[in-house]
Amino acid sequence: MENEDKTERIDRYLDDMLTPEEKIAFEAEMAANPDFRFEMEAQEAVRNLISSQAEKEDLRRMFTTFHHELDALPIAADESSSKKKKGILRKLQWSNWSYSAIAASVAILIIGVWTVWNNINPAGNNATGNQEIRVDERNEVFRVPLLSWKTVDFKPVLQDKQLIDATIIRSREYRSHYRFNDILEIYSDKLTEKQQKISIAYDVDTKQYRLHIGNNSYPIRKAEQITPLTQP
Amino acid sequence: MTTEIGSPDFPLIQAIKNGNEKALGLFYKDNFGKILHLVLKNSGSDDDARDVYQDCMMEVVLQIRGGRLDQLSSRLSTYLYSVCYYKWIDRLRQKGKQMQTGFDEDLETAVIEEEDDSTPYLPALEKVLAQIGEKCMLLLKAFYYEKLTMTQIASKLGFADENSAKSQKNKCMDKARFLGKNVLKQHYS
Repeated sequence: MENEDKTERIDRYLDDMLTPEEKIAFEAEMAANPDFRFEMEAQEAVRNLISSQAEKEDLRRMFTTFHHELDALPIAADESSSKKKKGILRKLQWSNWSYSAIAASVAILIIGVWTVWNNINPAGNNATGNQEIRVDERNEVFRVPLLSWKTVDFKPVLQDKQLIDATIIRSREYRSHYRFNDILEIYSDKLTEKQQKISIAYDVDTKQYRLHIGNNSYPIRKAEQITPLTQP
Repeated sequence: MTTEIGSPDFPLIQAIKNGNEKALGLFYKDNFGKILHLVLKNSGSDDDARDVYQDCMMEVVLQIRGGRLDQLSSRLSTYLYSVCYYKWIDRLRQKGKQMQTGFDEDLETAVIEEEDDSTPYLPALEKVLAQIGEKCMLLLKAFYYEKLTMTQIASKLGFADENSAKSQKNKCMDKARFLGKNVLKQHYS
């Protein structure tokens, strides 16, 4: 019983739950008895170690789950492949991924060119006033993060992250504009993909999008028409 | 969404700090590819990549939770890459190998060193604590980390009632404290 009291008494001291009188008595006892001070320090160290170990175990468990989810993403085409060739399989998946990415980029490029072609030649007319020149064709379509945020306890909390296709367009008519649908088109004289970080933030609470280009941010909305990029 | 804080990833850091598992999962999954590439290019395997990645991710998450990355001036992914990079260099060094390819982008950023000096007796304490047994560890973890009530602990760990759970918890801590006290005494003597 005496030991039970000691454990709980030290806990109450460490949790700052003693009354002022109890605290004074506790500290006086530590000053008079170095062994008692060691006991307090040891209990504190044990508590910290147990919590730290438990926290790490929790994180490890979480990481293992994330890793399984990650492994499950690119499902191997051939499940019967020997696990001994895991390294080779992984490389194969990566190269397949690269091919897929290239194929997707080419497909998007074709769609993009087709869209431009339609814009330039509506109904077969040569309306040259609206002519657009796409930036360096190899990098024409790139992906930008679309991060969804929600305010929880006055703090922004990331809800979701997607990558969406974006393209930068040089246009004689539109010099600081955008069009945002499934794809983000930025009309700019100078901007290049590498020059500044481009991302979109979506506020889940207000249902508003903001386009971030470097240190600047612009409110944007999904619409068919080309709209000026303006800062409020 | 704007913040007045300097870190470009302030919202992400705060989300991870607040225990947002989804944010941590996205961050984990988004960055593994780069580390896998780094390790595979430098004498490592898939398993090495996963191990080093989880170790450095652990370090970074604990730093975030400890508030040590609140003012991080670089991107969090860049910081993570740096931590993994140096960790992988260390492991290669231990195996007597060298890094073949280094930082390829503008990824270099200062890495916060772990503060191991504050508790140098920790490995010894960890070792002696194993002597209290698994059931005691579970009990102390449930009480001190999970902050469960004695009733919940009794039900979870199969004690007759909360009093016997509490009595057992105190006995376990008595034992742990006794072992810990000896470690501390040896350390300070």
